[in-house]
Amino acid sequence: MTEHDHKNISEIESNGHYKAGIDSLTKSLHIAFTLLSCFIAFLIIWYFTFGGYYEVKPQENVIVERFGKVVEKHEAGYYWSFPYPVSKIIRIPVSKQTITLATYWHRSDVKAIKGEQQPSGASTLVPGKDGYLLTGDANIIHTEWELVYTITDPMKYYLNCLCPDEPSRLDEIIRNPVTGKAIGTRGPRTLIQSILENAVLKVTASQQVDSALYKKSSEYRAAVNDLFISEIAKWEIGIKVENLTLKGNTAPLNTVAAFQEVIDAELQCSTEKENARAYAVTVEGETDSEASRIVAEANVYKIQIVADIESDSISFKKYLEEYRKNPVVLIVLYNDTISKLLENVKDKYIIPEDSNGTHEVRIMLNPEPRNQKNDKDKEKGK
Amino acid sequence: MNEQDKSKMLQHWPTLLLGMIVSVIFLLAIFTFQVKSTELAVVTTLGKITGVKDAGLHFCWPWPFQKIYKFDNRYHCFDGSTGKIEETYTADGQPVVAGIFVVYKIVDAEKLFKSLTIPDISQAEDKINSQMRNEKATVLGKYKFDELVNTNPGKMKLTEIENKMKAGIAPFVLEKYGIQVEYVGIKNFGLPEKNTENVLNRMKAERNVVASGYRAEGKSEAKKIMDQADSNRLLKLAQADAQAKQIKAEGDATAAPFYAAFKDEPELAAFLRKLESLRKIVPSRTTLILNTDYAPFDLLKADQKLLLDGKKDSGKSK
Repeated sequence: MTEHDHKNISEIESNGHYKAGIDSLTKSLHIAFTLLSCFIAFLIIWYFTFGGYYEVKPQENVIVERFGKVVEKHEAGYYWSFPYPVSKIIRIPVSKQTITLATYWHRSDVKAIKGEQQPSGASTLVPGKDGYLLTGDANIIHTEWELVYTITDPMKYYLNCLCPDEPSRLDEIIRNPVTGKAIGTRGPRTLIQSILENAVLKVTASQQVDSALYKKSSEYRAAVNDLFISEIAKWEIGIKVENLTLKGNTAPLNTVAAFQEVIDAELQCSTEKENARAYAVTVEGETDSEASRIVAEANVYKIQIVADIESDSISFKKYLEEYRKNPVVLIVLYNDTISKLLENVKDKYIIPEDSNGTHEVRIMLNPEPRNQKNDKDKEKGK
Repeated sequence: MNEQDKSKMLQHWPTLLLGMIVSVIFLLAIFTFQVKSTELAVVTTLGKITGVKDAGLHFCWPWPFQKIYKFDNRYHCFDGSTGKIEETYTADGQPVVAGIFVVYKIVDAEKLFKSLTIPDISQAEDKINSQMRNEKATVLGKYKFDELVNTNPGKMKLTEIENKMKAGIAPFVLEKYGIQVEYVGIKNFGLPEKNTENVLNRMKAERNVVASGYRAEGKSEAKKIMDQADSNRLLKLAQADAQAKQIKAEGDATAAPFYAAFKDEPELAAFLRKLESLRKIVPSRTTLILNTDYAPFDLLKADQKLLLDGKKDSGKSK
């Protein structure tokens, strides 16, 4: 700046031409600085007061890290701690989590998935694509499981088990660095699922196919459940198994008809046995009743025969007495008996002797059956 | 500091305080780093490892003098990247397809960092994967197929196989990469595709045999039960008959003394019994055909003796 310039400025200043502008700029900058200071002060105040408040929902717990170290855990409520970067809050879900294990389930074809037809099943199973398990008797089955668990100790869960930055999110997907194709996952659900898969595989490898599929499927499920609970407890990752369900179990689709045949045959077998048992019970009942009847009749006979013979002997003595007095009494007795007998007899035919002193009787065998309706009508008419 | 400066400072203390706070925050952000409770951090100074830090706030020189590499030290589960499911052979030559997983945690971050060309756990996992594949094939090759699956839990050795795999993988991985393998588990076990067809066919054949067995068993058992029931019936009825005979015999024996009365006139007794029998055995709706040889129908005979005698007598009297 030359002396001439200074001189000009002095002249301008002295004229008050720029002075007002500079004053205005200074004032503006001062205001801006004050506002910035207030804003920074507000941020600092906000940081140390309201910025540290956070809400913990009932379905989550919060772990607080201060300078990286885990210092406390909070359950549902409203809390304050220094905000990031001093503290970091990590939200751990404590509501029920579900893992569906379809690793060992079959691939259904598209039509079957749409419900248009039953899955038919391929003649072979492709490792890595068709999920299946080998049973202890070297057969193949498909199973699908559903695990429901809760995080009961969020601190252990967070400290012992690799979690995503937001533990409520699903596990991180690992991709092939070259192709970008997903090759696996990494996280707590991956660990839990792998341990469950291991338990399912081990238990199935000691089961008979019939037991795993239908005969003892509840025991099979219980064995997997017990093994899984004992295995997961070893890891101390703070989870509790709420329920393990065997959602589905089936023979390979290609063999389902054959398995159904066995079920039908088994059912038929038990039906036949039950029918036979029912027959045996019926026969036993009938036999008991018949045997009782035979014995009862014998008892009746025993009583009756004695009574009859006794009465006969008494009456015989009386008849004998009368007979000795007058033998004609027998003829009377005989005729009375015949008369009474014939009163009750419906049809009576008396065949006279022919001239040769012989009798001829013609009997028509297989007479026409009586018309019962006509008989009844006749009876009614009577 | 003269009096004028002091008065200016006192006048602008809030601004100065604010500036100091902001400066402290910036300095802390530049010269410190945090390590979480779930991490181990390797610190390098000008490319040289100068320390491994665990959870807390630590001092560091800013980039590019010092660099911080963090590794998660919680349980990782890894089931292989390439060759997850590979065909291998058992001791008895049976081809099988198996997949395993490992659960590991980083215990020596410095060793791990040194072993990696890029500080990424995926690179370490690739190296673990090679060891997993080797051990899987080696250990499975020492066991027979029926030691992998067996309905007798005492003969099934899956847990032993897993332990042997772990014994093969863990020391190597710890020594080379500072990674502690805590568990090795089998998560997939099957057969090659071509073998599954044979198994499925065998299963179908076995099911047919089982179905036939059930049907035969049903018929056989049912017949046994029914035969047994019939046999019991015959036995019970025979016993009842025997008992009945005994009772009847007792009755007859009791009645026997009364028969003595009939000895006085056996013919009369027989006659009376016949009459009694006639009353009992001829039912009401019976068709009875008799001839005139029997009384009283003998009266119907034309040459009835009494009638003839009567006619003769009347003729005589006439």
